[in-house]
Formats: sequence, C-alpha cells, structure tokens
Amino acid sequence: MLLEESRELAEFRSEVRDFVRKNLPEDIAFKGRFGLEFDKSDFVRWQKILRAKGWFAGAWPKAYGGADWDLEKQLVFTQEAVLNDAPPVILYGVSMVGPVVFTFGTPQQQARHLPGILSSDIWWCQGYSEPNSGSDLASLKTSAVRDGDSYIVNGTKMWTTEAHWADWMHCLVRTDREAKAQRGISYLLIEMNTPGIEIRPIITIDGQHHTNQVFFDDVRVPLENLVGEEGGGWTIAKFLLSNERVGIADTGPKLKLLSNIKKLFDMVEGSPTVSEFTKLSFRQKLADVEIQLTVLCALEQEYVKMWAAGGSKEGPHASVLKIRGTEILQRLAEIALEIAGPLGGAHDPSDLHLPAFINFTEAQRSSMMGHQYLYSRCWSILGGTNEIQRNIIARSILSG
Amino acid sequence: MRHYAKEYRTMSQARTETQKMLAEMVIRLLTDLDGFEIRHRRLAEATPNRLALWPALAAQGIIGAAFSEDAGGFGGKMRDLSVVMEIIGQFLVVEPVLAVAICGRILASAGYGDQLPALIAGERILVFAHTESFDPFSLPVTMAQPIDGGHRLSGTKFAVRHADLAHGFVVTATLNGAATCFLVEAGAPGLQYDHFRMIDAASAATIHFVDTPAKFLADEQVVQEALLWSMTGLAAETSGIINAVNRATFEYLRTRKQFGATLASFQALQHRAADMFVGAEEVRIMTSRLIEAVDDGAPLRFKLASATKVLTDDVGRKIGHESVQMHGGMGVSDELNISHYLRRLAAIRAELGSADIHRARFALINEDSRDVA
Repeated sequence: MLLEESRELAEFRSEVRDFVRKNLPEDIAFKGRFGLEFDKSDFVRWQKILRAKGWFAGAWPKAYGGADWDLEKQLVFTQEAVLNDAPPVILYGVSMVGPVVFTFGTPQQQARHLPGILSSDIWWCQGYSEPNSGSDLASLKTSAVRDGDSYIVNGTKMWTTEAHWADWMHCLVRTDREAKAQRGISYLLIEMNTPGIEIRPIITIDGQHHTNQVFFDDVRVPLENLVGEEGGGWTIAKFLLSNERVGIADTGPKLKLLSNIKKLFDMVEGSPTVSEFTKLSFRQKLADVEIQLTVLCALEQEYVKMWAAGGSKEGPHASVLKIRGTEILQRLAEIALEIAGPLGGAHDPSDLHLPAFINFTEAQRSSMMGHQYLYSRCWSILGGTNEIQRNIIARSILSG
Repeated sequence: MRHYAKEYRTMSQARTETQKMLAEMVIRLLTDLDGFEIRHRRLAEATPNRLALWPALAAQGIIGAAFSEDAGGFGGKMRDLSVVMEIIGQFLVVEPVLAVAICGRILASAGYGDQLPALIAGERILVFAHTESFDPFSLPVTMAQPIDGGHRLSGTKFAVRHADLAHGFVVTATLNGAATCFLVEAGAPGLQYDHFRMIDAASAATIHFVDTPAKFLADEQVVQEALLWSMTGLAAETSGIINAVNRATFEYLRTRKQFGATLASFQALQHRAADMFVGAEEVRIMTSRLIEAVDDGAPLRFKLASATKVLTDDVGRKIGHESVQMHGGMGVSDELNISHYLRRLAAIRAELGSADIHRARFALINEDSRDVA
C-alpha cells in the first residue's frame, strides 16, 4: 500500500491479515488466489468463521450483534481480507437486509430475520431491477395487492443475483398504482419457496450463472413481511444505496488483480524471446493503471473518512468512486489479456470451476484473466450504470 | 431478412457483380442455417460441433472464394475472400474459413495447386500454425532441421485456432536463418496438443513439435504474404462485426425506453453512437484500401496492414465495449448476440500481434518494402 493510514487502522489491517492467513481454509484460499469461482458453501464456511471471531457483521451496532466498526474500519477489513484471498462477504443479507430490518423493522421482524443473517444460515437475494426498469428503477411494475392478511405479488424481477442460492428475497414492489412513481413503492420480504415463484437462470457474458430472472405468479406474501410503511419502499431503497457506498470503489479485488497481473508479467519480463520494446510498453501500461488505482485508493480513503465524520452521502462522491473503480477494473483486465499475448484469446467458462490444488495449464491461467475481462464489463452496468453515475455528478455540479 | 441483405450490400466490400452475388448467397445461406439462436445453442453444448456449417459452405462453393477459377475456386482475390469474411464476422461463424483459405493460398504459391480441390470440397482442413509470441513477424523459434531428404520440426505454436478440427497444419519454422513453412499431418509423430476453448467459442490448441516430420512448402516471402492475407481477412471480419454491432445498437437506442423517452433522445448517447459510426467508416474504408493493396501487390501493403490492425483493434475494442454498455444488462447477457461480438473482437486482438506491436512496426517499416528499417 503506497498510501499512509493512521496507526490504529494500520494495526487493525495487520490484525485482519494475520487472522485471514491463519483461519481461511486452504481450499478457499486457493480459489481466491487464482480467481476460481467460490461455491455458496465456501461463502457460508468463511462467513461462519468470521462470525465466530465477531467480525462478520462488523458494521452493525453491538446491540444487534455487530462490532460497531466505523466506515474506515469496514473499508480496511473488506480490502485486506480479499487481498489475502478470502471470498468477499456477500452483501445481500448482512449489508442490506440486516441494516434495513434493525433500522425500519418491527421487533418481531428483527427477532425473525437477524439471527439467520448473522449465522449465514439464511441466504438473501435482492429483487430490484425488472426487464423494463433498469436505470429507471422507479418505474418498476411488480405489483403487490392486498388480499386479507396477505399481499398477492405478480410480476418479474431481472438480474437477481444468487436468487438460485437464496432462501429469501428483499424486494421492491408497487403497492399503489395511483401514487407518484416513487411513493407507490413498498419494501417486501418474500420467502423463495412460496408457491408461484419461478427462477430462470440468466447466463452472463462470462458464461457463468450468477444471476436470474424471477417470475411471480399470484405469490401470497403475509402482510407482516412488509418492512416500514406501505409506500415507504423508496426511502428504504435510498437508505440502502447510501449504505453501499463504503464498498463502492471495491479496491480490494482490484489491488489483488493487479498483483496477479504483475506475476503474469514477470514471466514475460524473464523471457529472452520477448523484445525490449514489448516489455517496456507493458511496464508503462502497468505503471499507468497502478497510478490510476493508487489515485482511486486515495479518493476512497478521503471520502470514507469524510463520511465517517458525518459528511453528507448525497453528493457526487460515491459516483466518482463507482465510475473510476469500474473503469480501472476494466483497464486492468484488458492489460492482462494483452500480457497473455496469443493466449489472451483463451477462455473457457468451466475453467472457473476447476478443483482446488491443481496445476493450471497456461491456457487455463489465461482463461481466468479472460473471465476477469468479460465479467468486468458487467460492473459499469450493474448497481446504477456509469451513465446514471455521470448524471448524478452532473446534477450536483451544474444544477441551480 | 431480404431487406437486410440489400442494406448490407451497400456496406460490403463487394465491388463486382459476382462479388455482390457471392455476398448475397452467403448471407442467405447463413441466415437460413445459422441464425444466432441456432448457433448459440449449438456452441453451448458440452461438445460443440464447430463444423456444423462446413458441408454447406463447401457445397455452395464458399470455401472456394479464396481460390482462382483455374484452381477450382470461385474468385481468388483477397477481395473475394474479404467479402466472405465480412459476413463470417456478421454471423459469428467459428468454422475455419479463413484458416483453410490461407493454407490453400500457401499451397498454391508453393506449387501444390493439386491439393486445393480437397480443401475447396471441404474434405480436408488445414490450419496455419504460426503464432509463438507477441510479434507475428519475428523469426520463428520453432526450428527446421534437414534430415534424410526431408525435414524435422521442433518448437511450440500457441493458440492455433481450429487445431482440433485440422487434418494437417502449415507450420512456420526457421531454416537457415529465415522463416519458412512446412506441411505437417495432424497425426504425425512427435506432436503433442494442449486443447482449449477460445473466448469466442472457437477451439484452439497449443502444439508442441518434437522432431516432427514435415514437408517443405515455401520460403520467407510466402510466409510474410500469408501473414498479410491473414491480417486482411481479420480486418474484413472486424469490419463485418462492427457493422452488425452498430446496426443492432442504433436500433436498440431507437426503441428502448427509460425515463419515459427513447435512449436515442439522450444527447450523451447520441454522441457516442455518432463516434461508433465514425469508427465503422474508418474501418470499412481502411480495410478496403488494404484489400486493394494486397491484391495489387503494392509495396506499401505491409505498412498498411499494420496500420489497419492498429485501427481495427482499437476501434473494435471501443465499439465492442460501447455496444455492450449501451445495451445495459441485456448487453452482458449470453442470450443476446451483442456480447458475443465483443468476445470475437477480443479474440481477434489476441491474433497476429496487438495494436502496440503494429504501431511499432508501422513506425519502423519502410514504405516500399516489407522490411523493417
């Protein structure tokens, strides 16, 4: 890390590093090191280890079973764990539903949902986007109509990541067609085994099944699964958005990818048959992207410090991190393919599921970078496209 | 689709009536046989059939477009082959059309025209095993040794596209300090394969040669011309992809609505679409100039080939990425063809030298020769 941080944070960082290196199971670490796909069971195993240490829901208040970490500590943990080959913590339960439920939920909802999230025994997914409501989320159409002590839900959700792993979905639905777009939206928790729910896999550009389309056909959801007020869903969605900001630059995986690309380049650097010109041009590209990444880390530290001190999360800052973060990830992956040379065209989606502890062929190693390249194209689209992020920045600097 | 064929003709590299007929025939054939859903399903299977179109391509004489009528072919100019390659790009064909064309032209140059009919009939598949490292024009590390009146090859060729489909390879190797090429049968002794899949769903292998028996075909000049033909074919393929991608993206912008308006009504997107059109024009016209230079044997063809690889790689990357981004979530879905175009463009960038390699060659190359100063 080129950038300095306070002694307290540096100490915490080294504590995280030591813990991960000692406690991360070998097979999971292998997958993390080489970029193989983690299974659901890998996430669950690692999250339970973190839970036992008291580090799983670090951002939660102590009263609800958390560690009261401030934003800076959360950032250091997230970055350092991934840098040491750990799977990223899956956000849907612990970073989304948990905070919503302890902030807006009833005591009954808290008692019902928080324990399963903390133990990682209950898995969540997020039902926001729809086929015709992507960037324009407020136009969503999935409806929930009251019928006695239930809502009847009809419609379809799109890009529902890990729906096929999930026990529950937290979901934005339209409960009022008459009200203005945002005001007719409510926040509902839906159990995935309810009759009438059908999950159809969506294979993405990288050839993997991460995400899904979910269909609701007269799905009966108890009224008690409404969180907050009816029509208060947009407020919760905005609360969640501002909660996600600490992870938005997602620098851990990028620093790790950079170090893997440098290892790939070491092999080229040592080759007598590669021209000095080629080596120099790669060195310059790597330096260029490393500088960009260092700048991103500096911005991230600065903004997180500002937010931790109570600064407004409404401004353009999170969008700056999202845009630069995704662009830098895409640049890293492109450079990786160039360094792989003729093997930069190799990519087999099944290589991501190779077993741990094997020796990869050169083509398989390149295949992992091919995956990074393809998957990186998703990041500038999901979670608010870079176009939307630029709109947010422009609005905040140009209006009024 | 008929109206589409007409629209395509105006964009095509076809110039003569025969070439225009060829283009329409290939489009018709591929529209019927290889609509995107059919291709997608076929290549997603556990053991994909990457020669499904081969019998039809042979029967219609399309493999023969690369060869003169004397040799039993249908054209023989690079422009004829490029007309086909544009449409190959458009339809994301993974069959070894370019590879067989290049190898056939090498055989013809080497005086083995008698071997062409089997290629044109689709009975024999040869692929060009050349790539070893970053610069395709550097001297091969693979060595040829004269032995008992023949030759033996030793070395490694990386990412040989279609290797698993080939009956034989045209392999480049250094003999007496110069690049030369040889014919090696796929089952020859001393061959070892590491097969893998490419990012665009084609197949490839890294091939190790250990004292592998080989038949001498041609010297350095033919090797260099073969690289030029390959680069021209890839440029035409890229041009076809870019046209297809632009057409689909502009159509999406015209029809997709968000925030109560079509995407095409947002000026930021209009400008990006305009840049995509600019890039496509540059690629189309530059590719045409390269085709002409190669067919005329113009002295500047090598410099032009490097310039075109730089252009097509850079524009292809930009347009591939922009088209996916503007399609939003659908752009990164496997189900829509848009992300498959991006994948083929990425594979093309990994073939025959990167834009950086060719920028360097362009800077150093003499205008009137293939030699680097």
